[in-house]
Amino acid sequence: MTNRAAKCGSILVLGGGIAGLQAARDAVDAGFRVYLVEREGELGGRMAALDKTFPTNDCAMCMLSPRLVEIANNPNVRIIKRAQVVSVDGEPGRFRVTVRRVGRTAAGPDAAAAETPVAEPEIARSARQAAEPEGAGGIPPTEPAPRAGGGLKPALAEACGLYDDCDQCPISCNRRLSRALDETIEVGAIILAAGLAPYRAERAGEYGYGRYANVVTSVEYEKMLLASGPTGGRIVRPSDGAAPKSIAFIQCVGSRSVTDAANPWCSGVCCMYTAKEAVITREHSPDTDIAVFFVDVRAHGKGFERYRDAAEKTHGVRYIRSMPSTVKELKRTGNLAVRYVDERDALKDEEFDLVVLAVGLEPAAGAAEAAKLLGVELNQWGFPRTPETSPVETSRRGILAAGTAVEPKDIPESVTAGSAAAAKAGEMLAAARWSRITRSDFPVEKDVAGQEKRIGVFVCHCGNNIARVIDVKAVTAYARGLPGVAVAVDARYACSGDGLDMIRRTIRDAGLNRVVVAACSPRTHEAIFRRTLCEEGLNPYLVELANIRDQCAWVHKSDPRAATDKARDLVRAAVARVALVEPLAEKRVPVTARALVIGGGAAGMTAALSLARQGFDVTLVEKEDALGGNLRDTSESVWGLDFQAYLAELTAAVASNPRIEILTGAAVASHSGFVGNFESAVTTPSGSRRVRHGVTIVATGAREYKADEYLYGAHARVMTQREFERELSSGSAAGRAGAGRDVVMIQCVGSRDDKRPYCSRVCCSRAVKNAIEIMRTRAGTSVYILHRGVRTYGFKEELYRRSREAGVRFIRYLPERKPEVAPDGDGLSVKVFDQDLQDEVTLAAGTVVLATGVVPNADAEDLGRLLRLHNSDDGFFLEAHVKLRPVDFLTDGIYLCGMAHGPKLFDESIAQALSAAGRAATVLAKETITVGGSVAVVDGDLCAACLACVRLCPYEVPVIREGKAEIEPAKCQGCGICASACPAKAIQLLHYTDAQVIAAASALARGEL
Amino acid sequence: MTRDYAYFPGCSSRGTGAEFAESIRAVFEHLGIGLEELPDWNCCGATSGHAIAPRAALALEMRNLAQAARMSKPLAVPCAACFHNMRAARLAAQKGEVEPAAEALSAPRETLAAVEVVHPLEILTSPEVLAEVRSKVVESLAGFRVASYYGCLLARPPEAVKFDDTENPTRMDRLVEAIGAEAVDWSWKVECCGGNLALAARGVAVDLVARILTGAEQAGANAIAVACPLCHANLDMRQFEASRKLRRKIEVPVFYFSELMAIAYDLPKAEKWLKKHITTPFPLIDGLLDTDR
Repeated sequence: MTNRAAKCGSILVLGGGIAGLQAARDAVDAGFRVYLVEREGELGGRMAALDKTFPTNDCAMCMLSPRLVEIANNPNVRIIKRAQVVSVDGEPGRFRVTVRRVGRTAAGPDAAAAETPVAEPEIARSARQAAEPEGAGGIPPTEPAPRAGGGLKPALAEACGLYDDCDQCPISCNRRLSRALDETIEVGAIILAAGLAPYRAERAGEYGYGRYANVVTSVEYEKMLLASGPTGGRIVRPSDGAAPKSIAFIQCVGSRSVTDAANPWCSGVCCMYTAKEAVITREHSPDTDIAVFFVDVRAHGKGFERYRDAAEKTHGVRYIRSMPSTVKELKRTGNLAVRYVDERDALKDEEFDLVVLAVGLEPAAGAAEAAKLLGVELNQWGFPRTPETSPVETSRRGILAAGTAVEPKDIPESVTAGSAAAAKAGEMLAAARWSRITRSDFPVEKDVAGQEKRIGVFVCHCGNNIARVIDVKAVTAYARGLPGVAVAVDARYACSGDGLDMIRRTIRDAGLNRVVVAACSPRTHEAIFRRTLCEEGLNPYLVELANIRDQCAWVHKSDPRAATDKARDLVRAAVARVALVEPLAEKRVPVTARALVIGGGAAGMTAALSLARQGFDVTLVEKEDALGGNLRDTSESVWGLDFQAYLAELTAAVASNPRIEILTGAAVASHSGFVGNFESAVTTPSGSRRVRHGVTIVATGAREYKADEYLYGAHARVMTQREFERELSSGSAAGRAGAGRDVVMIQCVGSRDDKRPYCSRVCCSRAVKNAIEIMRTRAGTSVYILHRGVRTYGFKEELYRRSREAGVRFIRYLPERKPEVAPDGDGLSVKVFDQDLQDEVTLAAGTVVLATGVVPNADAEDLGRLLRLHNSDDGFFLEAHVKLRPVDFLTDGIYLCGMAHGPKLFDESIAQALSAAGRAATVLAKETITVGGSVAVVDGDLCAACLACVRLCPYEVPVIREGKAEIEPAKCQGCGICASACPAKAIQLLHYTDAQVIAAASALARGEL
Repeated sequence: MTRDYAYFPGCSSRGTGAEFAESIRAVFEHLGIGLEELPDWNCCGATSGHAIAPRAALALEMRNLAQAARMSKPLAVPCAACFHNMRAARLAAQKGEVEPAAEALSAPRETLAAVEVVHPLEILTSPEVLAEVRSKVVESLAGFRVASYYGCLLARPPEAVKFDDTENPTRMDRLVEAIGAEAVDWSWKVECCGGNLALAARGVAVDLVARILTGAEQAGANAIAVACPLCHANLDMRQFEASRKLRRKIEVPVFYFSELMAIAYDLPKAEKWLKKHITTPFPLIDGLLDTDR
């Protein structure tokens, strides 16, 4: 038994991809110090290599960069790159992890790849030499610019005598440090999020990858799509650099294999990323013919089916249901010949300019050894084994696993898993929350009201990045002469430790009350400089950044004169603006450490339990008289988990937890307030209850579609999957009546049609699971599954394979020719046009099982209106961002999980519930939260209550009270739409007031003397 | 590395594959590598045997393996089908999948499992021998652009045959290069030639042969090299039918790799073997070499 007080309030996250990044940010926001260990030299993992992401076509880096910056700037996150874990000792709550960093110049596998430094321009070199002691190894002349807040071991500094906080030393040091650096870190929990690698396509020799120049992998194709990639965003054929006129995508390369040549699982993302790559290509060049060769399309996620349909119907991508067994190269042209059999059994030969192999995902080299090192058991597929009831826990207590490291999955599921792992870690380390967090104590803020403006301008060289193009000294001299400027100096790296020290010193010595930093992007560095101001007692809103790097030096490399002129303009505009900015106060409001969970099914109960274990109070509201939701009505999971037994266990755990208050037969009648400070009224059988809570979790689930087709409701032997499962498990009389007679399952009932153009995700896996069960227990019974593509994604592909081996028969039908069910004696007759046979087949069945889809609850809309939530096109709740914020709502403090989000299997609901708990914990863990800052304010005297702002605000913040619009500062996101739209100019966005914007624009427009 | 092998000629060695067997013998002699014929060898079962009566075919093979075991020499098997079957039989013995009756006719399974079965291409492309192969070349084969055709039996199934890469084998290509010809890379190295259907569905076989021939032509080859009498028979004999199917003349002479070696070594009997080909190789040879014909 470990002394609870002795638990370590730190978490080690292994892997800096999107799952690791999410786990890290939720863990640190919930009060745990984070060590983020990344094997490569940069964070971002697979997502950083993507151009756009499905189904929104958002740019991957645009979504990822802010996350990376946030993590990098967090003083309680230590990032250790080019590092691996070499040993884990200790016990849950108190692990001792040894991390080894290997630089390129250390003796090791990378030693051979050591680079020679690039010669630097004279101006920068002499400046550097003037600044540095003789004989030191020196800061390397190559960029990138150092990142402030990095941390190098003092030992390294001792070794070379000079170091900067840039973490670049192991990579670029001129002096060859010949040893690796080991360090032992104490943490309470470990989150394994090391991701996967693409399948090595050379193994699929039949497609000629590595042999034929114009056969590429989807990873390489994606790189070509990237505007910042090797071809500058142009799709070209490797053999001759020409744009391909025809492209073939071949799916499932490396996945769904029944031989050892490839992996048996479905990699889950390839169907969708191919659709995306095809759509983006067609958008760039509508004349390019694209053919996708597939067997089943796994479009099982939110918005996937629509996206894939649009690829075919709107963008004209050809989908050919046929798997070519080989690709041949036509030497003379470099084209590829693909022979295939189409759906009509006709033999076709087609020639393509380029072939793209949609490669799957598999554990990276060394993953198995790494798992062994961690003491984590692997499942039959070589991934860490996790229980269905807790999909982020490994076999070793205290070590959690998230993202694709557990099973191939897409970005939203990886993000979900990251938060879920953070929640689980939080459960274990709740007592040690905040114990390892260093809080910054800033000096009391100086009051600068009424003071004469004293502006300090700091112009950064950024090493060579800016100085190579712009005459920094000249810009600095120019700045000195601008109105209000008391001091203007240049700095080599303004954001480095030395640079920030210098800025602070100058603020103090020169009595500055406004600061302009002419350097790089505020998006990445504003937070750093704001912090610096706080450290000197200045309000953080009193600093302005002029971007003379990304928006000047980098884009005007060929014209240094003009670039320098432009830099002067940008500095002038920044100075004019900063003269008018005012200190802005952010308010601290206390957080109510209670969660309101709406919905007492599997998801709701799991979220409630996790939050309670993390140390927070919970009020769980359930509309029925008993907890359980859909779990009450189902028998087992696709992997055979006994749901009834689990339900009993879960209900008991929830009921016996002293932090959870359960209100059954209850409903939420009103909900108001803002994050950290909500107030709701809950109607219970014994009257109305007022609940004050800091967060809300929507876990209201969904329901089974009640069909009106295929004789459902009119014939006793036509039933839904759920009804059939009940029969199967209970061995009831009705079941026995059906025994000995064939079973026909019809998939996609009520899904993937005009009315509901989405895939219900769960039905294929359940169908094959049930089919296997029937074949196992009822000798002589035949099972027919009438489908429109079998969607057993991830490890569930195994179930599909087993069902085929058991003799289950699969008949594919098209939506235009649906099966017909008619009574036949005391049984049923099912007629279906078999697409593969190209003939009609009549089946005699004792039972017809309809895979009826998942549809939103009828009262979802009412709840949505109450909480001001949005619905997706398909009627489920709409999250803040489909990819990176899958369990958040746009309104801060309200979270979503389970089937209320969309159709999902049991373990996916559990993961999402844990994820919502992890997200909610980042609010509840804090005693207070800051609200306000750059928010919109209404001048009531000018407001005419025209409702323009109310209608336009994407976050539904403005409300009309007593004839005037009111904007709650805690809810305002500072987007400025209301301010720009208000016809009476009654709304100003603080920090972007009209006066401030006009001042900057006028200063910019005014030419030099 | 041994220079002395037992040798399994196979049934075609005196019939349709006579030039293969004779050229192999001649070339090995030229290189000073011994080939001692297996005494009392029997049919290997070939494709028909092992399709219709797999257990009997396996037993036949095991009997051959037993003979080889008695000779205490590794067994060289030139014909791809025979080679394939022997390796498969040896794998079965290694796995312990041997029927008592088969064992009784041959030898205990441990003995069978230990017999070394090699293909002449494996011998010739071993590093030491390959150097010799190269050094004995007297006639330049410059201008011969050879597409090496391996057929299916040398490549599949990989766990039984273990001969080379399944999709892109290169042994024969390396040999072709070593004797001074250009080895053309092409995509039809292991394509089915339809040999099995040559009698039952001739049209299919012709179609497949046509694809292989055009593939070689497309890749810039002017000759095809093979390592199997049946591959040779199909590709060599059906070019007229293939031309009819394609509606244009296609003619790509097909050589056994050992014949190419014989040409490179200027062995006197080479012409005799080449005359047995249906698709005449002489226009190509005469065009490239100074012959005394």
